[in-house]
Amino acid sequence: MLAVSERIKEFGDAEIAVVTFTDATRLDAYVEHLGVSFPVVTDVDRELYRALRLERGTRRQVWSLGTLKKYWHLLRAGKKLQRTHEDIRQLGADVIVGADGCIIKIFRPATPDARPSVDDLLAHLGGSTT
Amino acid sequence: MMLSEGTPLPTFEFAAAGGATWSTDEHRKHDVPLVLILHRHLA
Repeated sequence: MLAVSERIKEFGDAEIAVVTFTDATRLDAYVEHLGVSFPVVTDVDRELYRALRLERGTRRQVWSLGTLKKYWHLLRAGKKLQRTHEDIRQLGADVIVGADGCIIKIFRPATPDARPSVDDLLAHLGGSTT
Repeated sequence: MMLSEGTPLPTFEFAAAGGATWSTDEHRKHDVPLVLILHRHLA
């Protein structure tokens, strides 16, 4: 999502939101940690996660080679990793919704590191931006 | 309820930072698209 944040102007008027499933009392800390300007909200009961059929990954999925490489790169870049008390096996997604409320595209990566690129997101947003 | 491409996104209301409430249909009031990033570790 940091990549999205860095190229936010390219998203035009599109609304962007980060959906977590953290406890609501931790949201302010999340915003500070992520440093993004768009809304950060919480789906504590994971209703949207379930509706999108986002499963909990297997240990192999969650700790894929790509995920480990990503952590390695973050550590080498001087990022400090924080211990989490949340469900790290929950897989996520990126969803593009048209102005009419219909879902245009759902990206369901099989591993946490396999995210769509900003260009992929923008391509599906297409003419929806103004 | 199983959502897929081409189907309408129902209204979900979630707690937002700062104690506010945020809704998935807010963008429709402004006639703009919505990008949802569903968090996972490393996201």
